[in-house]
Amino acid sequence: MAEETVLPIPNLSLAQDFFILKQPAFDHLHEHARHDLLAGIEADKMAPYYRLVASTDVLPLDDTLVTRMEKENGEELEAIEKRLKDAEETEGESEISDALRAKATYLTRTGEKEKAVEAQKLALEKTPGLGARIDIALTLVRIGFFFGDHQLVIAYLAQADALIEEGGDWDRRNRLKVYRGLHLLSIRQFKEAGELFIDALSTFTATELVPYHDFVALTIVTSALTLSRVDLKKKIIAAPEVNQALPELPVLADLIKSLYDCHYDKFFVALATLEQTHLLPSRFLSPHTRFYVREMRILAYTQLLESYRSLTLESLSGAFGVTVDFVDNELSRFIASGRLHATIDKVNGVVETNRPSLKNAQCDTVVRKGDILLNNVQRLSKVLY
Amino acid sequence: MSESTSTTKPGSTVANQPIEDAQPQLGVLEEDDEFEEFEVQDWDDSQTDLAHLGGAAPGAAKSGGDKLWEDNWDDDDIEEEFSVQLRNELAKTGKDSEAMQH
Repeated sequence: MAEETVLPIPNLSLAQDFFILKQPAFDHLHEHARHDLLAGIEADKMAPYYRLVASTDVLPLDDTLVTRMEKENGEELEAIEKRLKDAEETEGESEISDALRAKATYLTRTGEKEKAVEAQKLALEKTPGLGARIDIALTLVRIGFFFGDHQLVIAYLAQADALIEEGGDWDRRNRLKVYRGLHLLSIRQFKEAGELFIDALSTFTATELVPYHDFVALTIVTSALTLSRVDLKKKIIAAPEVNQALPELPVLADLIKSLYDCHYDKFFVALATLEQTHLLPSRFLSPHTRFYVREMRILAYTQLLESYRSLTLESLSGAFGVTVDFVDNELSRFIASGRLHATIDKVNGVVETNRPSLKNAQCDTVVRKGDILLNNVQRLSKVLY
Repeated sequence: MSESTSTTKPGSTVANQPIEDAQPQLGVLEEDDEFEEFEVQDWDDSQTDLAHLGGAAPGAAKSGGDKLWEDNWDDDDIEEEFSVQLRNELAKTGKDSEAMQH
């Protein structure tokens, strides 16, 4: 069987639209989301999914539409079942597995979760080719992403991994990286996710999972938080794929450039904008928004404080474009929780950096090893004289 | 007095070794002074462990929200959205807040 492009089923952009519609805070995005969602449902004849969505009241249930789609679903499935029966009776293994895959594909496309998963599992068992089996495993992962079913995602990522170890081609190997990265991102493992995304950046083809620009955006978002400044420059800012996409991602461009160039006031503005435009509205990133924004602030403060033994609260707040009280609060919080190593001298309005744990540890090590050394020398001297 | 772990017989070569050992070790100690790296690794480790813990108990993970990531104590610290905070700050400092968009 020739290599086919992987079809974007189930259509993940619809899951994102659904997410937006469920949040009243995004009503300025609702019209567009509603329009997209309906168009997608009609295009893929997603009667079961339509019922699911309508049951949460984000869309009204159009009876004529749903009846028509259900009729089409029924007819199509009947035709597929007949084909399957014929194959089982008269034809060979590969025809059977083709029919099984067709059935699974149709159920997946219409968003009939339980039946689709079952059908895909059956198809997975009965399909001989390794490449096709990997594709099925990845489709199951996509179903998991679509319905927010973490267990399904984890299980079939593991399965896909095992299959690829048996001898998957490079295209599928790279595709799996994107899938795994997306999962890791959804469970807040930004560092690992970023590493996978960067790896897959130059070979990205997984548009059935996420559009290219969104993928680059996710790469930047994860890497900005987890890469060192040097690596940020080398792997992101200097990466040709990122460079090409940056003009269309102005918020992200501002974010990484201001962070790298230490323009902290611009950085704060970019971060706040990012929160509103990319984090909160994103199905995958939304639950981690507060975490991400906080960690980025800590990163910025740390980066600034790196260069100083001490600096005034005034100049610190000025660098970030905020009030002294704000930085005072922020630093106090983060120092208290051990994320920043500094002390605030409020009387003199000064922040002093200290590196207690590491230097203390070093002191202790020197004392301990010096002690051992002195013991050895003493024993030596006893023997020599 | 700490116990010496060295059991070799003393000789002129041994006398040099402890001293030489100490010097490269002191050198290494100074090289290790990479504060930022240390901190980042620490944080990631705690995340990974707990995430694995959450992922390893699929049946039990559903209690109190299906958190497959570390439920950071900071998450309980409910604060306003950062953009709201920043907008307030910028208003106070009288800086140009046109850059802030919804």
